[in-house]
Amino acid sequence: MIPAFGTQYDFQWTDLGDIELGRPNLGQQMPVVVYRLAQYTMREALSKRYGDEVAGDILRESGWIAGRELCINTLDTSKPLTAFLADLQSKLKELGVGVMRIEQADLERLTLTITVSEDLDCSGLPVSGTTVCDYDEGFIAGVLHAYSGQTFAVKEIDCWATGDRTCRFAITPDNAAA
Amino acid sequence: MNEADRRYLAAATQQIEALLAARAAKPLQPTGLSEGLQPFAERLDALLESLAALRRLSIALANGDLAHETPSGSHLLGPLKQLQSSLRHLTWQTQQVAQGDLEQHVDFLGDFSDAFNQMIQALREKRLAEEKIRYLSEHDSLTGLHNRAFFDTELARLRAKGTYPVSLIIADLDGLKRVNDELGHHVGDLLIQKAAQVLQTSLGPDDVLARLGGDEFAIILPGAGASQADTVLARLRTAEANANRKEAVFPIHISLGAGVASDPTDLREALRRADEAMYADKAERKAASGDRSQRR
Ligand SMILES: [Zn+2]
Repeated sequence: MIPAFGTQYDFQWTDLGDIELGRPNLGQQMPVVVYRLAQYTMREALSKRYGDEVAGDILRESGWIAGRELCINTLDTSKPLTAFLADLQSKLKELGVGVMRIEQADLERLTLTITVSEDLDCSGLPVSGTTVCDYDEGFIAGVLHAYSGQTFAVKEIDCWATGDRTCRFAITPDNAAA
Repeated sequence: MNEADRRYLAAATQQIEALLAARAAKPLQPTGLSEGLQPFAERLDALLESLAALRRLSIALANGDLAHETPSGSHLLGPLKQLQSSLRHLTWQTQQVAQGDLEQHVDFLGDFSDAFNQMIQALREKRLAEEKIRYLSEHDSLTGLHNRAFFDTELARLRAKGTYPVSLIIADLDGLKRVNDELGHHVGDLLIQKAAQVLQTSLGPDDVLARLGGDEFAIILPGAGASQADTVLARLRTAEANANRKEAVFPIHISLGAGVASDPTDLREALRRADEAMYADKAERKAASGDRSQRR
């Protein structure tokens, strides 16, 4: 996927501000519950106004921007894919986003299966029967777009919210969107 | 209890027996059971379905079939799916290691993690040792330049494939034997190191400089014809003069000769011509310096 606005958005990494300066005592850390509170109340408000499907799309698009910006600002995109994935893996762990693992990677066809355990968004969530990691789907597609310039379709096939212990994402080149 | 209830209970018992004997079982999807039994039968079906999927997944894992597709949403499968996921990731990691990536680290499989990480550490040490041995086998320990073995390999490579013409230069340090005899080997070694430096600084990144042994050096200039070789010779002369002006106590004198190979079959001859030219240069320099000392 790729948002309709593509890379034409106004957000910049510097919009996140100088956290060191702004939080001399509280620092970088905060409980996961606060993140989830923001994420799920935002989803709720979006759903109420636009319906579940549009809400999911908006979250996916914001995840796409986040993934793209994180990649551009904190990762080395000149590395070969496997080395890049290893860097991404340690970055996500370092930031507490989740434990990412690669289950399968076909570098020729650019298809990947990755899992994220202890996912920031959904681990421990009550089982609702539908996958909830729309934001993560967009995030992964955004990271890979920033790395390769290509458009990817990312689908969450297993999620804590569907009763699984890890989130599993199938990644394929998105020819429809290109 | 009606007749349908009794038939259902008998069938359900059979399915449970099958599962307990590790055989396949399937949901019974009964209808028309009495009010108390129907909801129970539906939950039992869900359990049978989950257990059947669990049985299939555990058999697949026991057989090493990591590609086994599992249904989503069954909590009972959770831990085994996690194991399957870990094993798939481990497979990917091992493929990475096989391709030379020794940065892989396992931290989710207990004792196995330790063993895997120890193996990676051992491979890393082995690679370092191999790199060191390789470096030693291709370099001269006194000057840090490439050695004769590397030079020969490089020539063989050029014989197989390269851009021609190729120029070869032989450089020979004059009077090393006398210095060794009169001032000692440590001074001779210093002169060799100084000569190596002078030669090195005058060359481009693609040129190959090797110490063939004793006082003899060789240079490969890929893609260089006669005029380019002459330019390099002139540059070497200037570098030699500059070095001697800077440090006049132990001046170095290097005899030089070049030979140009127009194609791979000509390489050996070009090396011989370079050698000859170097000896001619040496004789000339000797005569010139003899004249100077006689005049003095
Ligand atoms: Zn999820």
